[in-house]
Amino acid sequence: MARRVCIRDMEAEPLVIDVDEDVRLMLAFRDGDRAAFDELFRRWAAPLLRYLQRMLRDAASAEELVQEAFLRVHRSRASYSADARFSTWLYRIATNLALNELRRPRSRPAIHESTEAEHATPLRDAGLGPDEAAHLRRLAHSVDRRLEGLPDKQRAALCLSVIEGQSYAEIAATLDTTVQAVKALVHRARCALAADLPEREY
Amino acid sequence: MSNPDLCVSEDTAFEQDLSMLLDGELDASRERDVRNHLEACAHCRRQLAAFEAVDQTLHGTALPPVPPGLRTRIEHAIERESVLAPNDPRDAAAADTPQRTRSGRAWGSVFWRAGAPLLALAASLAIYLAFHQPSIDLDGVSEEEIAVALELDKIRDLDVIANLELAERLAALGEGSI
Repeated sequence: MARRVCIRDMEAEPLVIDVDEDVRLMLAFRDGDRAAFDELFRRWAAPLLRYLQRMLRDAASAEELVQEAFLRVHRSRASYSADARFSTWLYRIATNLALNELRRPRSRPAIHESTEAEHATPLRDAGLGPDEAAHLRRLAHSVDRRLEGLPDKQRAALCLSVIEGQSYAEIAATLDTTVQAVKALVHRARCALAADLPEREY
Repeated sequence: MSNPDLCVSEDTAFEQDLSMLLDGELDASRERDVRNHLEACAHCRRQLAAFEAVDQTLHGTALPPVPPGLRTRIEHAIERESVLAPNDPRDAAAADTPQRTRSGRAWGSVFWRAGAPLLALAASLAIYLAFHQPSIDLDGVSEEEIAVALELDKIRDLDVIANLELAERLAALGEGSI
């Protein structure tokens, strides 16, 4: 039975990706089917771009790394093994690229108001009163700012868990660490973000 | 764990369980224990609510639109790599080596294809020079002639000079112009 992953997106219907189909596509691509690569790009480019935008806080750099990640998938197709989930492999490549990028001092842009606006968490305002919408935006702004200040691996672990819906085991594979370490990373990140929320925010 | 006075939320491991509860990572038995405690403990409920507020905000991150030119740029990059290193089997090991950039690999390929022959040529030249030092034959050259060459600061190039300037200077010397 095929495993399915729900990629969270509040503004649209949940994007359900059949992970076994990913494996089939990757194996087909490995064997020379270029259309399979197109399909993998269509399925994963947007989630990967979202993840890298969260990691880097810089849309242009995130886009460049999506390009580089898929280029590496293409380049390394011969080494792909079906015992590894495609998404775990892809996010591991992307995470390594992002962590390398973040080690370069010049790659950390100052967070300007325009950047905040660009990357502020989109909220589904439909059905909300103006007070509630404003409250949720303040909450999102607070979380966004704190997320930016987290250690890189904490931010990666939290984003992979909460936004991308990965299990701790998958995150451990992505970050090349243990499940126990992932538990601590996710929890510390949550605590750090929750600590800054005013009491009345929740 | 139903008495709020016995709240164990100061225990980091228990707080971590609240995180794991949200992520669906607790086994059934532990999840039941944690939920039982939550029913009685307002402090832990507030903590869980704070975590949920964080998650709710992050869940709201919409999928961004993929720039329309991105797929084309990837295709162009693939084509460039194919030109630089067609069917390069070393590409297979690239996925987990994030420190190596795409341009770095490309230049690496260029090096192995164009630089290696040049390196071999340079090594051959070095071996030749090591065992075949060019000799300078000073037989028949007078001290005065050597002085002329020294004056020109070209003694190290005497073989060359002999065919050019020195020949002229020596000729001039022979004519007594110096």
